[in-house]
Amino acid sequence: MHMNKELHEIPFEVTEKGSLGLLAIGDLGLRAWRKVRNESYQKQQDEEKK
Amino acid sequence: MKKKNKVLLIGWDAADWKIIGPLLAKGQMPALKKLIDKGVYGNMSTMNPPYSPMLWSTVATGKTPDKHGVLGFIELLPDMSGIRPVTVNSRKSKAIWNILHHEGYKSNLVGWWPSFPTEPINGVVVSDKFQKVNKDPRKESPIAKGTIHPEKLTKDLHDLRMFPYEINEQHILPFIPKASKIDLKKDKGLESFSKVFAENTSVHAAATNLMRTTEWDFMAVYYDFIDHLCHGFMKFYPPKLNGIPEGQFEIYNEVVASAYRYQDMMLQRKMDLADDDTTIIVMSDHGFESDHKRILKMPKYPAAPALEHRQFGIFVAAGPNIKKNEKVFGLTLMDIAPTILNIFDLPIGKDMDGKVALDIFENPVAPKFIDSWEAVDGDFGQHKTDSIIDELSAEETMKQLVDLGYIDKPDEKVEIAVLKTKCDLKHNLARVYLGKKDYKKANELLAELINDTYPIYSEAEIKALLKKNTKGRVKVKAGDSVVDVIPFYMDLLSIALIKKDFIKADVYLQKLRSLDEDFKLNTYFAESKILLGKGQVDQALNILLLAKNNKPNSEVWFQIGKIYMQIHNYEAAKEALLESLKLESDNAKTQQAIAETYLRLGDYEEAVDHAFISIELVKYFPEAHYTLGEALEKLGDIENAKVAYETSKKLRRKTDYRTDQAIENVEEKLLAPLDLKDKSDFKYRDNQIVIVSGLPRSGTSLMMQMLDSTGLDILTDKNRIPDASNPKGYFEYDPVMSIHKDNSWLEGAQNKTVKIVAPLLKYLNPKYRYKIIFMNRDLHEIIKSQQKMTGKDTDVFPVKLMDGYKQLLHQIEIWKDKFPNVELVYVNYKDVLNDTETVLDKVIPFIGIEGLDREAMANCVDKSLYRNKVEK
Repeated sequence: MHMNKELHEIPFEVTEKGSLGLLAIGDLGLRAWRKVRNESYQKQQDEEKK
Repeated sequence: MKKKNKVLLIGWDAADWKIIGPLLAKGQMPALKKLIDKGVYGNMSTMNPPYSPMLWSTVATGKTPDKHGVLGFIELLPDMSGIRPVTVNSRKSKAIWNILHHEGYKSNLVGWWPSFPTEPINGVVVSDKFQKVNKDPRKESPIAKGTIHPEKLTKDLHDLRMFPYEINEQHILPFIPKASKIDLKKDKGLESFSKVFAENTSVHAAATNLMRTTEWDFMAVYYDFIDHLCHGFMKFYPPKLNGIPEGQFEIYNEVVASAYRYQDMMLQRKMDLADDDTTIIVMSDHGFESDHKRILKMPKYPAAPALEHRQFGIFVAAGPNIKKNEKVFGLTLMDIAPTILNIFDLPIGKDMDGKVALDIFENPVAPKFIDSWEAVDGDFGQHKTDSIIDELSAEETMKQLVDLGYIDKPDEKVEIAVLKTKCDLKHNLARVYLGKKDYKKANELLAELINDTYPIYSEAEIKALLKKNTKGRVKVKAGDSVVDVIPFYMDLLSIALIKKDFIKADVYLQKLRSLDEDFKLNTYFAESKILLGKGQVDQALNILLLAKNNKPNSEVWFQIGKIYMQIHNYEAAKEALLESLKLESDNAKTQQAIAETYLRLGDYEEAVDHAFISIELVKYFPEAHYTLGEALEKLGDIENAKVAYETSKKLRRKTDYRTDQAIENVEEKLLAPLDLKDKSDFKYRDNQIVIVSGLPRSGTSLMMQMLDSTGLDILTDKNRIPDASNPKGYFEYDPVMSIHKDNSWLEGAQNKTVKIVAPLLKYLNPKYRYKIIFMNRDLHEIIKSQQKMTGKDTDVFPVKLMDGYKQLLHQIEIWKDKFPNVELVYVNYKDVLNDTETVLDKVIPFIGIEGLDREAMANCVDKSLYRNKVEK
């Protein structure tokens, strides 16, 4: 997947809260952070539903 | 594969070396450090008025705002029915990307101010509207038409906008470590930080995306991050200012430095994405005051926050043909477009105001020129007509400008908002002309502005304003004009002072005082200059000394120094100017003034040092080059003195006879080196004027008589007849007495000899060459002779007069060295009487005319007339 390839350019772990370093990477950082953040949110939502 | 000339231009609005320096030293801006190490760096001179949309349009076009047309933060709608934030429609000149489009290059543009609505260029434009989003998560933020070109890219880029409500502690704490202490109900600091942070992150996301996914030759990215955070938080930057509460200082004191650090992180990413063929330029349009000049209480004038902008921004460039780790000098915003065109080997429009910064290149390519790119037909990727603009989006941007304090909230009455905007734009244009020293055009516009009639506020309108403004900060009252004319009068006052029209200046000053009783904006400078212009030096100095005691600042110390220089009190001038430098070391005019002061005090090495610093700060400063030339000449470095004088001459718009004569002098010295201490070089000068000078009763008439006897053409009207004090005649010429009002008669004094008493020498026209024979006589004898002549009691010794004469002679000593067109020899009256032959050995070669009758000169000496000698 294109996205996965791009994520390799991010040299550190992407957390739900993100970081300044991640945003400084630019588009890839912003998208990677949102992806993790949204997945985490979704997971949380799913768990709450259970 | 052939290397491409790619250019990445990164704009950091308001970035300033004063903040960057310490961060570089601490290793906290590693990306910029890398660029500096492999490139060039220097100051970037800004322009007046320092309003960002005007300045960045100058960067883009290489032209001053009167030509490119962007004159402020807002513009009038084409049908004059309203106002909106400035758009690309205000720009009347082609930008770099338009020219590159015409020449077949691809450009990407992100966030440029103004770039909305996007121009249809070859490449991608993400305009300055892209990052402006609604802070309320419940409201939508559609991307307006004209925000992105090509429009089809909107779907790929729309998710790269960050929203303020997405920001969390990971983003905030590096800037505001004690953010938890903020009272969110009262303190809007975090809200405004989040908005600026989100917007700039959006710009960066779009820029990095385009760098990765598109082919481009030129790319420009503009960030307002530093500027906007400085406007909001510079007041909290250390050291803490009096008036800033300790708690607020603790919360926000890291914001500014962190802004630079984040900007550097973003720079590193762009450097990683750029290839080796790319020349990277990082620059700012102006600096930002970060010391005692910070303003806590902003005056209520249009665009007042720009008062916080400092004269110098930054410039850093690195790339394949850029010099390594070198400092460059004298760059201006106007030079960027021509320099980029030169990198692409494209011609520079002769109508551009900037020059190619050839100094930055390892192997400079000679610039090519065309008359004007504006006259070239074809496709430049421009709009064909004024584009339709989404008014909702405009409203949001307008709100931000109001929030930042750049503009007042536009009047709700549209016609008043339009009128005020018209006046603002006209005033800005006048200020542009003022900056270009086109005082005539500036004056014309300002005269129109003060002579127009404007509507006035009614009682009802004031009541409505008071009702809306719960803080009661309504400064206007019923009957006041809706347009504030004070700023227009302030500029008229400045022009009158520059033009030395002190009568007009006084009228404007009084008008300003009558317009606003609370008017407290540095009137002492204007008042002291007016007094100075009227010759009331002591009063002028007293006003400044008083101002200095009330509130010392670098400008007041500078003005005090200049007055001391004017009255030749160089020791006092030095003290004052050093005080000024303590408060503001990077002021070119102060550095030049102290260089000149050291020069007059005979400390030539210090003079050279300060002249160099002045030139480092502002390369295009002819007077600093001249002072450097003088100091180098004194040190015996004639060759470099010549270079300095020639540079000064090149930079001057008008002929400066003093510089021409200085060059002539050093050229002669290079051909035949002479004793540098001597201010006479015994060479006949074409059309020279021989002057006999000295204090009254110092033997000037005797010397005139000697020169007359040898056949020199004497300029005298013989109106003053011989008397007992001077039985052989005075050889005077009446127009000399009014030389301070009219020195035009000097034209006819060429190749003649004239007597001018010492105090009047300073009124000589620098256009001509003078050979001055200055008569010296024991001051006690002079005074005694004068007292006798005027029938005063010779037993009473006038101490004050004696001191005055001593001071005058000291000033002559400095004055003669100051002017390259003046050659002066001292002749002692007693020597004329007792050692006439030696005097003739000195005077005859000094005049430089062959065949002077030496015997006739000697025969003029009549020792019986030496009647007031003082026995030692």
